[in-house]
Amino acid sequence: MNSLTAKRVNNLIALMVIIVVLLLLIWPFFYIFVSSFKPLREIMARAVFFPVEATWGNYETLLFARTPVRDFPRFLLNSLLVSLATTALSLTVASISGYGIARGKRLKSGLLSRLLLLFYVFPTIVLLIPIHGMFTSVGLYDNLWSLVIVYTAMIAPFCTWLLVSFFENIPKDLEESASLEGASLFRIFIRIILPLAAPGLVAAGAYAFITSWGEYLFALLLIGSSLKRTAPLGLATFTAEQYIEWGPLLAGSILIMVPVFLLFLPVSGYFIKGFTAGAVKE
Amino acid sequence: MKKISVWLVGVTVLLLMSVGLVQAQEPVEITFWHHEAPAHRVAAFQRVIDLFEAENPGVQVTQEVVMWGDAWIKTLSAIEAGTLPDFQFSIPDLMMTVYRAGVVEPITDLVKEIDEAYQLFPAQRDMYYHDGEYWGLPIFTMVMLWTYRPSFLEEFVGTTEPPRTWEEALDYARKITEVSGEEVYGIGIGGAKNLMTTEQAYIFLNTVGARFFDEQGNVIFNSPQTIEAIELYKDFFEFNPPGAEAWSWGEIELNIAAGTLAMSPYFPSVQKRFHEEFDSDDYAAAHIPFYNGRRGTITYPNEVHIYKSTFEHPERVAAVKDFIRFMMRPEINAILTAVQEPGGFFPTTVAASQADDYWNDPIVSRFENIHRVAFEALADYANLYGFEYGRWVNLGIGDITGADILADVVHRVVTGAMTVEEAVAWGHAEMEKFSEPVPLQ
Repeated sequence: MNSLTAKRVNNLIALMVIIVVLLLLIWPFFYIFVSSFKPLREIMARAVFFPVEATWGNYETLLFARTPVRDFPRFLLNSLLVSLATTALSLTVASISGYGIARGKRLKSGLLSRLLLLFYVFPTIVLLIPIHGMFTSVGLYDNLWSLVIVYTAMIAPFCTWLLVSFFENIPKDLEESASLEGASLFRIFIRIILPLAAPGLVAAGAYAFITSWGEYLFALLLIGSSLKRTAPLGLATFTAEQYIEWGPLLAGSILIMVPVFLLFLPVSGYFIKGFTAGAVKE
Repeated sequence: MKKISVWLVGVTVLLLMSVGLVQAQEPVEITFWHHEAPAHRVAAFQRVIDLFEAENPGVQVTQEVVMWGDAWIKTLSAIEAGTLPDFQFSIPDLMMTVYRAGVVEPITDLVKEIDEAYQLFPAQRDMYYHDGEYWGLPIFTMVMLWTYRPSFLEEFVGTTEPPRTWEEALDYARKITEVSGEEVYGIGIGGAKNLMTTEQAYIFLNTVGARFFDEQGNVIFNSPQTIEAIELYKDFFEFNPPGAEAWSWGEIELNIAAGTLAMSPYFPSVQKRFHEEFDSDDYAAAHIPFYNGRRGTITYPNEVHIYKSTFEHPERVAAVKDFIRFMMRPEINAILTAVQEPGGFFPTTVAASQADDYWNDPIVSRFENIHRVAFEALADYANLYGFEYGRWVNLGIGDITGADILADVVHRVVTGAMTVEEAVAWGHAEMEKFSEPVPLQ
């Protein structure tokens, strides 16, 4: 066997392994997707993979059957608003702080930047009750903005460190040239630095969106009104003890994934690049 | 000058009166938390609310749903932050948690009033009695029975009669599993560390006569009776479908409906599925079988309690009490039981359990025998771990339940991690950590 054939065989084996792993990963999602079109009778009967009498009924129930405490489209909208606001705020904070750390060597090795890392690894569960009390005392209990603030505090430290490596790879000469041309620091940051760090911003933004989209515990505690729930909380209401609403639950599980897929798939390349950037110093 | 003064006083009085009038016209708003998220349960609550508001135009009632799985953390954090509702539905374990936090007011007068009017079942009422007061009022209750599929018993055992003893039940389970070639499994019991396993295992303990505490509140879990009960659970577990070590409520219900299970000690609430989805009568429930001449099962009275913070607003307390009285009217209570979840929720008063509105419900009347058995069990032998003595004996029961210690014992046994004796000894030691006996008065 010559080296070219051996390489091809290796590639083929690698490809097959990837396909098998991919199938294993995708299978549960595919099963949920297929089952979301089954009527309850078929979901509860002995497992048949494909629906015999396919129906949109579960999606109709999910989207149009409202109760005084459940409105799934509104839950999705709440999640979208919170996630978008968190993403915007996290990127604003992280890009400014990340740029500052990247350009200030003292800052990078100083206490402040280490504190950022500490906040990132800090077990947030111990903060649940104090944060609940704090937001209640300032009148932000049962307000979606409280989630935006908490999520930004949770997410911005990681995004900052993610962006530092991107900013460090931007040559300082560009800033110096622009400065000589009379551009202000703010203008340089907006017009030169941020566009060049776009892949990093996309990666950090995707991270911020996905993390805030799926968060459950703070949303549970900080939101009081049933109709202000975010999508993960809303989805959980279909899983009551002794009565699981299987059909809408399956349909909701699919719908809740859609924004993440739509956002993540086009930028997944940036996301991987973002996480590996700075791993190898040239 | 005098005229101006009189005029000013007159205007002031008028203004004050008009403000008072406006305030008097504002509805009293009360909010409560319950834990029943399915759409039909929320709709039942809303129906009760609408009927109440029609009768009491000055009161506006809002329901909020907190899932059972989130109830403890949400309630405790709301206590810390001061964001509690006016009143809340709970079960004895959760009630004890809020009692220990010192945020609940006794409602003894209201309980006595309802008892006098409609006759509360004593076992249900007394689970909320402590220190000379009633801290909650049971609105509806739950009870586990021996649920089964008659057609499977007929096909694989040759009878439609449910087992009368545990020996017979084990024999049925074996026959069904073997004769069907494991197409149908004889029993459905959980082995995961969760509340469902705790509740099912408690039926075994209760039947054998094992207890968590003695009458003085001392932990007596590590006893020959507990070991016997867990051994029995382990014997039955052999005739469970594979994977039951990780089961929760959903798996039991799906497998009963799918025809994978022939029998299960469970809440007989799957009847709604059989009625609405399958239009089938092949679902029944019987008394828990006898073991050495005795039997036991679990019951969970769902109560409401009123928070101390509500008592700072007398008009809200009055509205809450009126709403509770309204929920206890037999014809209204039928909405919260027969309509809300037939077989899942049962009345807690004699009057409501005899109401036509209850028995005329189409699902109740279709599975009438299940309901008759349930009321017999409630009146005869159903109780709840830690609440068997008609008074609170150990305040640690809420934490013991929250930590799923009994389920953990079962899990360790069915997964082979420990022998029955080791697991029970371990469970006893864990319970001791939370134990807080209530001294006899």
